[in-house]
Amino acid sequence: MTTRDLLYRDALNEALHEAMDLDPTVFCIGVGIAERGGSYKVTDGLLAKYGPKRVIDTPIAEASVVGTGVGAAITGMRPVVEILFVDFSLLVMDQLVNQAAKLHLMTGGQGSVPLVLRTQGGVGDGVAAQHSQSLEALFYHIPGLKLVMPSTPYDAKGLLRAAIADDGPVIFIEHKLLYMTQGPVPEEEYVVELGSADTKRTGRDCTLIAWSNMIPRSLEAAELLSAEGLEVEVIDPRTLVPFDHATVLESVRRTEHVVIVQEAVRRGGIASDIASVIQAEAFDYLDAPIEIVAGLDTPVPYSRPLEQACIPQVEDIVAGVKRAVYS
Amino acid sequence: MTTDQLLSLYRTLFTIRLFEQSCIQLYREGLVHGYLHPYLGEEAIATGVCAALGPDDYIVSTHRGHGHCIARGGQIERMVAEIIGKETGYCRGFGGSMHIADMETGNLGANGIVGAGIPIGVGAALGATIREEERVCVVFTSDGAANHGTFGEALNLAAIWNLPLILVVENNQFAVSTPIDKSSRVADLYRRGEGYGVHSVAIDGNDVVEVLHEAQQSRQRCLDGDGPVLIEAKTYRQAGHHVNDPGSYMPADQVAHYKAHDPLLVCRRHLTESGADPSQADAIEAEVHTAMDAAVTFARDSPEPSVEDFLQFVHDAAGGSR
Amino acid sequence: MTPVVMPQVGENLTSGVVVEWLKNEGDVVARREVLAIVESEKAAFEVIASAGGTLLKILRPAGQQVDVLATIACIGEAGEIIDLDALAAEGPKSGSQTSTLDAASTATPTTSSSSVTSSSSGRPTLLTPSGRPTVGTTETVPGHTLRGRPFASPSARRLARELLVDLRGVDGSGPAGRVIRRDILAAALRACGGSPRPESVVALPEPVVGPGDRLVRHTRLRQIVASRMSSSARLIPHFYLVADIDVGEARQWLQELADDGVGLTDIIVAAVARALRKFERLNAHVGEGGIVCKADVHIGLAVAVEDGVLVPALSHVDHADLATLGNARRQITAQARRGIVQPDPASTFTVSNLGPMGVSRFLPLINPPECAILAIGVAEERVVAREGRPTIREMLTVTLACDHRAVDGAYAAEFLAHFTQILEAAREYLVDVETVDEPGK
Repeated sequence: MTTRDLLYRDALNEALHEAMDLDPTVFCIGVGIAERGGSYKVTDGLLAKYGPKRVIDTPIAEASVVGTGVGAAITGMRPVVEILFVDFSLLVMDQLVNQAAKLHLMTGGQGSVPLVLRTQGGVGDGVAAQHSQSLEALFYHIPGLKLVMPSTPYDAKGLLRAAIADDGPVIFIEHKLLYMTQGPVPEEEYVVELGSADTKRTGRDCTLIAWSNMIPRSLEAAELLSAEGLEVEVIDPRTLVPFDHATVLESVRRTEHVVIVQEAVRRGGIASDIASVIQAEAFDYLDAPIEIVAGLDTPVPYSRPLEQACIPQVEDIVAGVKRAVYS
Repeated sequence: MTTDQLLSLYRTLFTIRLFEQSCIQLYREGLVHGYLHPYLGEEAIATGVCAALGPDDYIVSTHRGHGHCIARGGQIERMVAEIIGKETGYCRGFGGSMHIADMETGNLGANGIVGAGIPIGVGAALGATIREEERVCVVFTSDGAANHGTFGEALNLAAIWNLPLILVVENNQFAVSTPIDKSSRVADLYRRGEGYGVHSVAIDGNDVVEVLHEAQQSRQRCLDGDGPVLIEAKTYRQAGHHVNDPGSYMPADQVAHYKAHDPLLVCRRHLTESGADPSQADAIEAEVHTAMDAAVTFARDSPEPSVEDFLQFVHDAAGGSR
Repeated sequence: MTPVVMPQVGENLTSGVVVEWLKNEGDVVARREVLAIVESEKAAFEVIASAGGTLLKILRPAGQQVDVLATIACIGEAGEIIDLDALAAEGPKSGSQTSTLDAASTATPTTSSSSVTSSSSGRPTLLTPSGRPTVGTTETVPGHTLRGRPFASPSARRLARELLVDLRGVDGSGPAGRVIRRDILAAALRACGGSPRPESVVALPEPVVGPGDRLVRHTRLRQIVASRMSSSARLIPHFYLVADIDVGEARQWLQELADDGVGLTDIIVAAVARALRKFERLNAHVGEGGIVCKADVHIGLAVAVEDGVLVPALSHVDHADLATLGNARRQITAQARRGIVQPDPASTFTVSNLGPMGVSRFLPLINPPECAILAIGVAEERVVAREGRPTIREMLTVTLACDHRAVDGAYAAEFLAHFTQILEAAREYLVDVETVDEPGK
């Protein structure tokens, strides 16, 4: 299999091109995605290839745009709706939670909503409180939604293909700092199945679970720890709903020490739920309490050093692993 | 309008009327749980609009959606079964009154969130245009939804994209218990459509013939590519907001006025004018009674959905692990 | 010296390209003058001089891709010395997103340079780090229990079960003395006396119940026996000494006593107790760092019961006469068969007699925490050599098992020889045992 290095945003772009090529019911809709190719250039080139019927710019009316996606999905289309910042997804919660997530059940299976909601989140560079959030826990909690957060170009492309092909609503959260990162992507088309975790690094001393932008940071921490003789196994769930518990539990039973790293605020975050499953299913294999390294319970301030203090840095992850292994 | 056409309309009107009364009765007997929003007094709107539609058209309904479902060709046995939560219901008992849907007739479903259906309808219309199909989408909505964010947003989207969308605002003059003059400075809601560049009209929602004609014209507009239409159908509820709301806030004189203008009475008058005998309408009523009884019996005798089947459904829908 | 930097060219863009220098090295420039044109993916930008002076050095010529906020030139006094190496090694200045993914950058990301002190100080704590003990140190007690339960991680407890390590005896190296996995592994290693790799301590395979097979679950007693005997076998280094003993004299003495309540077992037990007087290390309990030589001799007697073996103790055997011993033996045996064993006193030495069942010799397992156990075989007529000629004597074989942590072969051999001596001339040695009026203390 030959690979080439692609930017994360270009890998997503390729996935969209392929999906729209393959299936005429796939269309893209969102603010500024057509002419401009998207604020992060993920939808670049689609308008020219597929025309304004399938690459639609919208006014700023997020709730109705997502609702439009729901209506189109339930009548046979596969919309890929872009919400520019995950912080704005709060404006579309009724259409996502009360409509998209529930229509399949409420209609007794008569209708399906094969909608992909693409958005991005996370702390960037001083974009402040209303544009820096990690809100995946809100979607995690809603039955009827799937949730994907890729960390590499390879994962991003493969997962977006799978998300578009899925027959239910999928929330696809990218990270603003990952768009310009590079990684190997196969030349051939491929799909990364939803619900499968990826062990990004093997190790015998500690299981570290992280996703999105915390993966590069965790891998960096793992290298630093390796120099001190501590080998960390880094697992990227990639899909948060449905979650691949089997891979995580198998690792935990081997290493018996667990660290979960989450950029999102500590309280009520997904890490807590993962930890609860681990303690329930691998209780006798825990040599130490499960360590969670997460964002501070606060909105993110503007000033740079304050902003950076609010989310896990490499040194916080290193310290967390050391606490977990009694080092 | 021929007598036969009018009789057909009358059948639908009466079916809705009797259906709602029967459901209220079932509620009182404890067979219907949760919420039931009767369409009593508004039957002409659903009947007239749906009579104008083609088989491939879509409708999006509201929380007060039994009338739409019936007018669109829904089978009353499966509707009663759904409303009392039986396995044989349209949604297998999973949806209930507020979420009743019949995708085969293009009924994309009732909705428990006021205003949520409007963008969904926009989406259905959009999908049809992308696929270049000859379809319209009718979105039934309410005066209550007219003040909701999605109303303006979705109407605007339909307008800028020139979608084949007919937005039927069923103005029954109350949003729950708030009268229209307290929630809107301009009581004529259709004027809001003008602000978005949408062809907008107001009609007498209790006259099924007027409704039908307007709906036919609107549908043609859409198919001709002239863009969306907003129809404000003025009407009045003959009951409270939901089955347990006595509607004591509804002024007695208004209630009396609209009772005299009952859609069934109006239709009977049309029938008389067309030369029909009252006994023809009576005969239809008798038939509907029989069908209704059979539907209720069917629903009562149907089993409830099993927990195992439900969990299997959930498991299959989740597509994998927890 | 005033640095000229590549400007911030757009959100999330980490580099730009120098398109053209509009000034040359050595030119005098004024504040706010345009020095160069740079370009991002999206647009072109002017680079403006933030101070007046001489353009001393252009560090990044046209055509180069430069990280945002990296220094591309210097303005200063004509003739000023500038440290080019320092400038070249410097990372991007404060305010930018450091590209930690750029292969050329250093491994540790540089945070904002001036406004934050070193990362070890002044960082707000990311909430309460766990791993600290959730119990106060005053709640745990020596022996590391918490409310009577061993204070150990779940993993340590599981491992202790699997490796048959007694948690109560393990010191914890975790916070507040929590016993953690490495403590159990170390304890198991010590007990084994070697260095088996933890992976070699593997669970035994579970049997399969096939059609027609009958699964007999362990009773409580069976479980206890299984556990104790496993611990004994695994953790105590046994060695065995065997002796053949002539019990003819003893047998004769028994006949003369003509007491139905006294048997050969009682004489043997009395002989053991007498012999132990001189060998206190064998009348002892063995611990990690030493042995406790017990003041009294309480002999445990192995009693076979329905689904296991119980070891009730005969107390103060060294002060009991034979009749008392006989009575006590019968009493504790009967009680044991009903499932009753008095916990007090704890036995200090155990005797196991399979002679009545015809066993000639066997290798017993020590009853922990005792130091030794004596197995008695069947008393039978054997042909032995005496003064060069074969003769028939009543013989029995005893096997003494000892804990090699506490005693060595020579010491045990001496004990065995002494015991043999006593038993072979029982009547003479145990004469005071016959007549003591005060049984027990």
